[in-house]
Amino acid sequence: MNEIPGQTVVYLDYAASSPLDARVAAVMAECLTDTQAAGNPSSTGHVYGQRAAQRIELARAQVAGLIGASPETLLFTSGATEADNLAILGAARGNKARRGRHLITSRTEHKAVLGACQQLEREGFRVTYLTPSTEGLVSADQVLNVLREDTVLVSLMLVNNETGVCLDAPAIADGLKGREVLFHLDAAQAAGRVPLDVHVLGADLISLASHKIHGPIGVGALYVRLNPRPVLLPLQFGGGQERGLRAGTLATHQIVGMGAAYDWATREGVSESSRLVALRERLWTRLQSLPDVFLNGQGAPRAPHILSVSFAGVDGEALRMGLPALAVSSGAACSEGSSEASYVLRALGRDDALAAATLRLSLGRMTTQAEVDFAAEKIIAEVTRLRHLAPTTN
Amino acid sequence: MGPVELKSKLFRETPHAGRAFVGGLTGEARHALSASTVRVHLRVEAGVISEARYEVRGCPDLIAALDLAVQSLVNQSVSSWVLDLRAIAQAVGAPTDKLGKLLTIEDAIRAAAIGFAER
Repeated sequence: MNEIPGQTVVYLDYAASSPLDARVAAVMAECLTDTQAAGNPSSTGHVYGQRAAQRIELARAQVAGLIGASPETLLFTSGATEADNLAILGAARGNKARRGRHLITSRTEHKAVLGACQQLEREGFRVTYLTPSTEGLVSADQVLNVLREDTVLVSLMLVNNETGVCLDAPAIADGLKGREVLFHLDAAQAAGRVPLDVHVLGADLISLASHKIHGPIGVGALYVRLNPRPVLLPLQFGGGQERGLRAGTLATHQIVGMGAAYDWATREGVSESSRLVALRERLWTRLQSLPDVFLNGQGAPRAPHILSVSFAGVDGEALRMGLPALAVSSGAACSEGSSEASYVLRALGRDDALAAATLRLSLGRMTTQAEVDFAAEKIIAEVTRLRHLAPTTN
Repeated sequence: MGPVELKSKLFRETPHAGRAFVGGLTGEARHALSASTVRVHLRVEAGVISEARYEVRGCPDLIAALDLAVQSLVNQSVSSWVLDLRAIAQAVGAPTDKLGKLLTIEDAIRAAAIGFAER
């Protein structure tokens, strides 16, 4: 819990951003103050640059370790949004002559993916937007049914950022085998929360975030399969860093922080996931003491850290304002400025009012049982108050 | 107290929220776009509003403005009441794009007051 003057505020918005782990911060601070590693990591002609480059390669190996990949498959970016853009725009533009101009994605993707797809539509590509089931699932059959001769890329998220619903990526990868269609996974919410092994997932491209698992904001990575290696066109040009795919001086301390965060996630692995599942279920069990609450993604496999619940009979804005003691999201954090109901929840069939009256409660390494109980108590009290205030049915 | 603090206080405390008066007047209005509903209850004695309450499902701006609105009705004639919705919206700092929703307050009061004329 966090003490804000006069008030306790519980942070349950880890899916938006998770606080930097103190152990990660310590590694970053050490890196920032190590004058012996203060060189440009591309300047390997002297020891300062060499030491910076060594630190980056260690981080690359740490990130790769969490996903069962070899380090040379990873290139660092400014975050998962850039990784998504590079994967989608880079793959589509780089393979249009060979394959064609058709992409497949879903209506419930992150705006980083949808925005990139919309840009490609402006460039003459065609995009098929799949509608998930009411549980939030996109099936392999759905993908295979809309495949075309000119399909160049399938881009889907491994764990939905609003509902926590997990994609059956291996089934889709199996279906795409031998079809020369690239498969991109946005794993921003998945890394460190669900087991990741690139050999099991079968994707050609995987976007990764750092700050979703207690690493620093401002750094991410893109996994690019080695064999066969997909053709990607870069989005920015300059010094040819990251094998010419992502120009710009690498931010050593940021990358070192991401490496440390992934290293801790690898070490904690299953035990932390089990703890989060237990806390999530405790929270959901308590919230079910209220009538007319709906779990989004019910019946689908879900990531341990996200609980999306809709509350009938209350106004969404009133619910959020009535919970000043909780730092939660009403949907995708990127859409928070907009009062429009979540497009993800609407795609799952929730009406506007119910979609707006939804809380995304996301847990992380610092979440405690006491915090979960506190949150449940506050939500139950506020929903009850708002429902009591509402006109009774005649 | 500034608009933000007033809105917050009225939203949390809702001092004039309540159910219908026995023998009183009730009017209801809905804002279709937001699914907001306002129900106003009036107690009228000798043609004068002696007490006013409300039930509401809506955003904090609507709740706070409604609380102020029903307060302002007390001691007014039920057949010639006046509501300065713009001043109320300003008092609670409601953004201009909420004014359409706030009009449901006036509609609900009017619906209640019409009940008096029809008696």
